Amino acid sequence: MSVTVRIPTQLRNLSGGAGEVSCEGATVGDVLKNLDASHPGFGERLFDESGTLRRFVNVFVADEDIRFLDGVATVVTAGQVLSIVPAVAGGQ
Amino acid sequence: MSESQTSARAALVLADAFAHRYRYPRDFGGWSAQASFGRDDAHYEATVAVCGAGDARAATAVRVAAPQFEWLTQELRSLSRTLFGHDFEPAEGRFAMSLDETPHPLGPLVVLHGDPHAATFRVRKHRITLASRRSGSLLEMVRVERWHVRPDARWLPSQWSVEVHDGALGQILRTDRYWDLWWPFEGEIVPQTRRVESIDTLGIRLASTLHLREWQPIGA
Repeated sequence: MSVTVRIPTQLRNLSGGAGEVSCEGATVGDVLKNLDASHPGFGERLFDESGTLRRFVNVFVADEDIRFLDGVATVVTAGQVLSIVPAVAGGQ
Repeated sequence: MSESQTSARAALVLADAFAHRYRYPRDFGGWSAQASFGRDDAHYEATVAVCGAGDARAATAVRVAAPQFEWLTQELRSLSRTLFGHDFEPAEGRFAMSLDETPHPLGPLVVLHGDPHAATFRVRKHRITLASRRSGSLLEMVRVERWHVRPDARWLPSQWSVEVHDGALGQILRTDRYWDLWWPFEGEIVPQTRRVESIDTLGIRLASTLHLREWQPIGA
């Protein structure tokens, strides 16, 4: 299923300048892996060497922090919006 | 929309969030309590009092290392500022503001103009979800992740993080994660536990805790 991934300004060099991209996946982890497959470079920016989401990266599904859902195992449904928010972004 | 309309709308959004923030009534005199505090295996006892925003005192029966005592008083002052709060109008409300309503999971962005710390806020469901301020090359970002919400919908942060980023170095200097447990007392709320976990640039993690008990009201 396809979800919309919102890309923060700091990472738009990896998405060709796009603020949103569509990605397939059944879970947040799947979506982010597919994002890296279609736009190489996201993987190393989002995940550490052990494959864990970096602590300075926040991910929201339908405006809920996945930290309080099921983490990268959080199930996504078609049409949902997944937002990537770096820890030191969001202000101005 | 004109600049003044944008500023008025931004002020409404931010003022509404401040109005929903829990704070003690003006005639509330504060409280004293017994405290256990420390980090890892070193814990100490203290008698503490919180009487106003930034007005917090602590005394220990035995000598406590300066860093630990400073940590205790710093956290008590932080709690006092949260609980006693401040008026919106003479503080944030005195600045012109703008509102960026581009969709964001933490809500629309309010930017203060003319503020020496270039403060910004994001607000969602009447709650502040993010606050940032600058000091030189340092950017401090406070992100509230969980709230304690009273039956009257007024909120206090119960889980939040502080990131300090140095723009000159291009790196995060420190991350502090806070967990606050609030307790009912005399019709108001007092802190029962504060846990702080700090991670520095080397990835070294330090956990500190403050437990309070036996609260007593202080007359106004």
